[in-house]
This record gives sequence, structure tokens and C-alpha cells, in this order.
Amino acid sequence: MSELNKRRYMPKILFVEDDPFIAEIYKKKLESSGFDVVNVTTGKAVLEKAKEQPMFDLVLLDLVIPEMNGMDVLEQLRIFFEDRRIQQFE
Amino acid sequence: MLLFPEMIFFWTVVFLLFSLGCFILYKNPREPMNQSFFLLTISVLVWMAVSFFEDEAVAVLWHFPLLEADFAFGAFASFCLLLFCLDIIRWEPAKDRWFRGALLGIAAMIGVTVFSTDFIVAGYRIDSFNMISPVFGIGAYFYNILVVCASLSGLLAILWKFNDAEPAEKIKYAYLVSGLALSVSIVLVTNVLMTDYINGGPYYQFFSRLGIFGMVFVVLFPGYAMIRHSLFDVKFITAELLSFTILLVSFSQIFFSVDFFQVVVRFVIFIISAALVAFLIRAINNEIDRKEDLQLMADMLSSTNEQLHRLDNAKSEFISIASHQLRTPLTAIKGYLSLILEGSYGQVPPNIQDVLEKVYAVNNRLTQLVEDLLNISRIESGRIQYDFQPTQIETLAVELVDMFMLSAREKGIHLGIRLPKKSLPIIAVDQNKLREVISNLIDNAIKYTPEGSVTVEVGLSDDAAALRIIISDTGIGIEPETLGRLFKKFVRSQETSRMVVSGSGLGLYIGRNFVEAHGGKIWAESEGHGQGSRFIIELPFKRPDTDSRRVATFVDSYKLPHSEVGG
Repeated sequence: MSELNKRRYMPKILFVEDDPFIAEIYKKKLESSGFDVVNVTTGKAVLEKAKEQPMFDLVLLDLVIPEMNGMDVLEQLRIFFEDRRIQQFE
Repeated sequence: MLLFPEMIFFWTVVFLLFSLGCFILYKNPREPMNQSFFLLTISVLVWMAVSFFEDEAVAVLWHFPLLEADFAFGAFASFCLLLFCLDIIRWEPAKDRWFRGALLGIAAMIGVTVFSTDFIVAGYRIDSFNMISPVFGIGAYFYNILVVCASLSGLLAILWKFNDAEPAEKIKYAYLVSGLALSVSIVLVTNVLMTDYINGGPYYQFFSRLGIFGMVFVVLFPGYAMIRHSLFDVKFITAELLSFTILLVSFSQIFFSVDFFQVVVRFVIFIISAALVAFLIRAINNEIDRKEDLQLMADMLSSTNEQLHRLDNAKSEFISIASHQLRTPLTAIKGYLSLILEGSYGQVPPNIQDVLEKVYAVNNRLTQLVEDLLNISRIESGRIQYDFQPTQIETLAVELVDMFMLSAREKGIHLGIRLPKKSLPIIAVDQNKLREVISNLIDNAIKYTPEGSVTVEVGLSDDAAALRIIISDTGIGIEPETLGRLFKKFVRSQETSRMVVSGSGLGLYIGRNFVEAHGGKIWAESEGHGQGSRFIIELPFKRPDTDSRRVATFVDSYKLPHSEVGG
């Protein structure tokens, strides 16, 4: 793999946070570190976005979010991505 | 012919039944069971009256209408009995207005048929004993089947539900069934089995009517049970039923006396036994009242308890929400400040950088205060969850001392650590909680030490049964009168107020709670003003059982789906 390709690849992060300020801070910080950050605020939106292509490399999930509890979202993600191993960090 | 005692008996029973029905309806007019009971009482009453006057009626004009009324109200009473049975077992469909209407409608239609057609009763004749006997119509079998089915299905419904019933309900059933059984057996004995003996005998009228009068038990027994529906003890009921039976036998014996002397003797016996029964019943009722009071109090207690539980949950919910809501803005402030200080929004001039660093520090202090207050409210409501993990305490201590090295150096204080030569045994602790306690103590020590040193020492207690962590300093020291109060809420040393240091005074209180949850002790020693101070934590290797059980219950009872989740 060439040096150019390596630099062009920006890992995609789905950042789930309902507080706009916190979301902005993390987005800025992560983008300055070379990540492609998409922010969503509700559990439902996570499930919709997560099905998009190309797939996200990482989901940062707040546990207290509107509409759905973070744990429920995680459960749904596991069901949807049955064939993929979802690693959970806390 | 009109027998005088019979008249008295008749009117007594009528009065008793009528007042019983009214009383029960009056107690709770909206309860379906009370309504159907009232209907049952009235129909049995009318039926009895009709049967009674049927035999007494002299005027020929009345003979046939009374006979018809006898059949009509007999049917009505049996349907009322069915409805009442269904109400007693709280059969859901019976609560429907249409169902009740339909059931009583059938009964009413039978009545109308009896009165207006010859289908059931075609006429009457005067039999050899000078009594009115019905001449049945072609539908008489149909009538009999309906009436028997209605009464029997009510009884079967009760028997069917008997096993699943609550004890208090069972008693109601038992009363109803025994009342019914008593009535039916009287009817069987007087009007079926002994007819040969009775017919033509001197007391023919009395016996033939005993069956009709016997029907009052169907109403009397369950009525009594409904009035005292909170009876709990079967023994009471047995005693009461038995005494009533004795009373009844003794009363009826008066009417079988052959001469005046016997009447007097039997009357006296009846009065004496009545007095004894009254005494017994009163004693029993007192007992029941006491039981009812107890039950009432127990009910109140359990409802209060339930309310407390709800409040408790609401409080826990509130803490969880509050902690999220309070932390989020503070985290945002911290985040923005970090971004600015790191230069993410461009170069910051040194003087502004200085101010921002102060804002950052103040914000951190506020965050810590919020954290302390949340901890306090969790501690006070018993909602702290502990997670005990095997830990090498030296590692933890070194880590913490490293963390404070910078701030100590900035203040020009020596921060040292003293570890034992032989490594200490592993101990189960909640690492996060212990970290919070120790770092608070180191932070305090640095705060209250203008010059000199702060030392963290880890070792064994004197009896080697516990771990000991000592944080000592050469600072301002603590006055003896403050030492004892130090670990209470919102207490700070007198001296500290004169110094420019921050602190909510909650840290030590929280620390004591955390350490005590480990079954340990925390205390402070100081020689006094200017002599420095020592804070000692002792954690036993074996946590006392009671304590771990306490912690375990907390964890069990306060496991909430999304509490304790930070923002």
C-alpha cells in the first residue's frame, strides 16, 4: 500500500451524543486527529445510519440518549450485524 | 286457621330478612353482590309470604293468585340465588348489566307465564288435608328443570371456585353453602321424607311450612357472612353456627310443648341459652373487631410501604437524571476550554491562556463538588454500588502519588511514598472508590501544607489483620476539638477557613462511607496547630459478613437499568 493511500483513508466514526456542545467538541477533536465523524442524536438514527454504506469503523455510543437506551441500541446493532463481531469497549 | 306462634315466627322472619337485605344494600349500594343479595332477600321474602298466606287464605278468591305467585316468586328466588352465587365468586360476565338483565328477565318471564297462561299451573284443588294443591300444566316439568338448574348451577359455581378462593372469600362461600344445605335438608326432612308421618298429624301445618321457612337460611347465613365479611377464623364461624343452631332448636321446642308448664320450662331454657349465646357472640365479635383493627393497620402499613418504595424509586431516578444533567454542561465547558488551550481555535495570547487555565481549574473544582454532592445523595439513599476487585494496594498507591507529583512540585512540597519491603497480600477493594478516598486525602494534605512534605505510607496494621494506608503531612495540623467532627458532613478544620483553599468539606464524609463499606476504618491524628496531621485508613483483609451482606442488598435492590451512567 502506497503512502498516499494510507493518508487518504479516513476511518469513519459514528458519534452518538444528544448534547450539541459535547458533540461539537468531540467532532472537532476527532476530526483534527484525522477521523471522519458523523454525529447523530437519537437511538433510532444510529440504527438507520449504521446500515449505510460504506460502513462505520467505530460507533461511539452515549448510554443516555433520547428514544432508546444506549444498551438497547447496542443490542439492536448486534442483531443487525450478526455476521460481524462487535467489540464493546467501556 | 291462624296459629298465634306461627304468626310471630312469620313476622319475625319477615322483619329479619327485610332488614338484613336493606342493611347490606345500604352498606354499599353499588356493589353487584349487595344488589343481588337484596333481590334474593326480597324474592325469598315474598315467596315465603305468599306460601304462608296460601295456606291461611280463607277467601276462595285469593287461592289461585296466591298459588301462582308461589310459583312465580319461587322461580325468581332461584334465579336471584344464581346471580348472587355468581357475584360471590366474582364471575366477570355477571358484572355486565346486560347479563344481569337477561338472567332476571328470564325469571320475570317465567313469572309472567305462570300468571297469564296455564302452561305451568293450570289450576288448583283442595286436597284431603284441606290444603291447596296445584294442578300442573304441560310446562310444569320445564319450570322444575329451570328452577332446579338455576339453583344448582349457582351452587356448583361456588364449589368450583372454592379451592382457589382467598380465605376470607372461602368463609362467605361456606356460609352460603351451609345455609343452602340446611334449607334443603329441612325441606327434604319435612316435605319429602317425613310426609307420611306428618301428614294428618297434629302439627301438619307447622311442618309443611318449616320447609318454606327453612329457605331463610339461604339468605340468613351468607347475609351474616357479608356483614362480618372480614372473619378470618373458621373456629369463630363454627362456634357461632353451632350456638345459633342450639338456639333455634331450643326455640322451636317451645312450639312442641304439650302443656303450659313445658312451655314455661322450655322458654326459660331458651332465654338462658340465648343469653349465653349472646355473651359468646359478643366475645367473638370483640375478637373479630380486634383482628379487623390489626388487619386495617397492616393494610395501612403495607400501602405506606408501597408509597415509600415509589418515592424511593423516584428519588433514585432523580439522582440518575440530575447527575447526567449536571455533568453534561460541565463536561462541555471542560471540553471547550481544552480545545482553546490546545490551540484548536488558533493561537491563544499568554495572558488569556493564564486566565483560561484558572477557569479550567475552577471548573474542575465545580465538577468535583457536583460529584461529591451526587455521591452524598447516593450514600444517603443507599444507592452506591460497590465492585470489589482483587487489588495490589502498592500499585494503586504509586499510581496516585505519581498523579499528584506535579502539583506538589509546583507548590514546592516534597511528596514521597514509603512501601513495605515484602509485598502486601492482595485485597478485595472497589478500586475507583478507594482511589477517590486516597487522592482526596493526598490533595488535602498538599492543600493544607504550606511547606515541608507529604508522605504516603502503605503497610500492615499492628495485628497484621488489615492493610494500613497513612497519609501524613507537615502542614497546619488539626485542633483536637475538630478531630472528632472531621468526618461529618460539611465540616472543615477551623484553620482552613483562614487559608485560601477550596473544599466543600464533603470529601472526608464520603471517604468515611466508602472505607466503612469495605469494613474498614478511617481516622485522623494531629498533635495540634502547626504540628502536621496524619490520616489513616485501615482495610481488613476479611470483610465482616454483615457488611458485605449490606452491600449486596443495596446492589440487589437498586439495580436500575440506566442509573449511574455518566454523560
